[in-house]
Amino acid sequence: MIRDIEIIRRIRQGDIGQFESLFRSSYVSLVKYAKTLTKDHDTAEEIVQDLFFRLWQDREKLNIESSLNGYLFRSVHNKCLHYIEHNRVVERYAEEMSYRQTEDQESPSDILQYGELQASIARILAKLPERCGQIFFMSRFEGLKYAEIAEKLSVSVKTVESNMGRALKEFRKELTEQ
Amino acid sequence: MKEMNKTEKFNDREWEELASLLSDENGENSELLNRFMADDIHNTGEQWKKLKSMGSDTEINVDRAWSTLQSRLEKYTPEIDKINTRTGSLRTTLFRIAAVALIIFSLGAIAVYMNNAGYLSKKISVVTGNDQKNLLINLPDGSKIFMNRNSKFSYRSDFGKHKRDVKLNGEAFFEISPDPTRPFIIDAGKASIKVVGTSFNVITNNRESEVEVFVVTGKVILSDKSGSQSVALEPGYIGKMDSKKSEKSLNDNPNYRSWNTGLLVYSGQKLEVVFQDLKRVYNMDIVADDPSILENPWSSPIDDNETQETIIRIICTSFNLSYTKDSNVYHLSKK
Repeated sequence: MIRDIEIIRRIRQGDIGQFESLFRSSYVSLVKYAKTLTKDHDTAEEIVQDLFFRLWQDREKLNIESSLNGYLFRSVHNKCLHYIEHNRVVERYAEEMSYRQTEDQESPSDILQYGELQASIARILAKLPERCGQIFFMSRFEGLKYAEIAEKLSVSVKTVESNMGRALKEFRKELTEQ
Repeated sequence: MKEMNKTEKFNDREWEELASLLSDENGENSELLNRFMADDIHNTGEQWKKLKSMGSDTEINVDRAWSTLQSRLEKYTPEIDKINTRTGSLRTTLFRIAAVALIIFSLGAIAVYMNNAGYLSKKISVVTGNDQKNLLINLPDGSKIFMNRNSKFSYRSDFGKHKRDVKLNGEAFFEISPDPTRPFIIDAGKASIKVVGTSFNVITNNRESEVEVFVVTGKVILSDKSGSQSVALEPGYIGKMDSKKSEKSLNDNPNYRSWNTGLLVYSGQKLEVVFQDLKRVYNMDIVADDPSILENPWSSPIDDNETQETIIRIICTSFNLSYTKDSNVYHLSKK
């Protein structure tokens, strides 16, 4: 397996084949992650494609010191947060309008709660260190077993266990503070 | 806040075990689980299990996604199929054009002035103001200099004819074209820097009023004016020098060059550090109304594709904060 640093170096030099294989290997899980946060399949695909588009356009500036996987995961996260924030404004507007017109449609609080849930998951993931957030996501949203996560990320099952403990603690905190 | 204490009821080992139990991994500890359920008024356990239903069931077609992306890339960079062999020469040209255009269009803000300093050669100086960073200067030998804000860079119009001597005051990143017959020498005030062909960052006046050099590729020699001290620096090392002393250490800050690359990366650093970097790299002024905000850990990359407003909003969403903007200063407070 080639190390991240080598992959980054090749992409910086314009190796489109390397770029394509990075895209193919990480696309599905990044889209799933984005969908968890945005709740919209098309938006999720758009966000991930846009990330790769920019990555290639700006490849000469690429300077990633952490893991490549973690970088992609975090970048998708940021883009989703941006989307959620933006959408909440739109929703609030829509809510106001529908309130004026009719009273018996979906209640405004339903619409708002939906956005809140995405935001609180985004918040939990933002508070967790990169790897911990990724493990939490793989277990909870992708439904992978501890052993499968350990293998995918080349870490020990023990590492997965302790990170999941930390994630649960943060999850509980978030629910309590709401 | 009383509720917060509930998370303290369990130690790390117990949290681990609870996570395993709730995630249907192995283990059996009904006592612990009961204790957890007893005061779980927010149904954490149930919600934890329910998260799975939020995952995606729709099939994702990678082939289709790749061809969509590919055609989008081709549209914006028509030479994509040639890039493999030509390693971004189009970009280099574009950079040159952009740099020239930038110099011409920013005349109002940057003072580019030439004056007759000698009989034979003119001195060329480029000065950047507070709003500029990453101004690119292409020297005749192919070397590139990226200037940070509030810096001054000068060289002679006959640069490269016999020698490659330049002068810097401030901060810049250098990518020097190799030429063993004509070493590249930078007069950095208290010290001078000699290289053959390499890339490195120079600050002529750091916080301790020393000359500071960070090497990315190649080898750099940092020496003082009298020539009595000299330090050889390899990639990854930072050398510091003033008239009295010199030191050499390994760089441990991944964001050292961020003013130049535009990318900031973190793995759990405090927001306090992040805000210092945002000031240094993007010239953003952020004030936390409650000092405890500064203690929050941050792990997301920040790049210059985001607007300042977006960066602030992402930070606020992450920690449940609100912000106001008061004449270019962002004030953050708890919701």
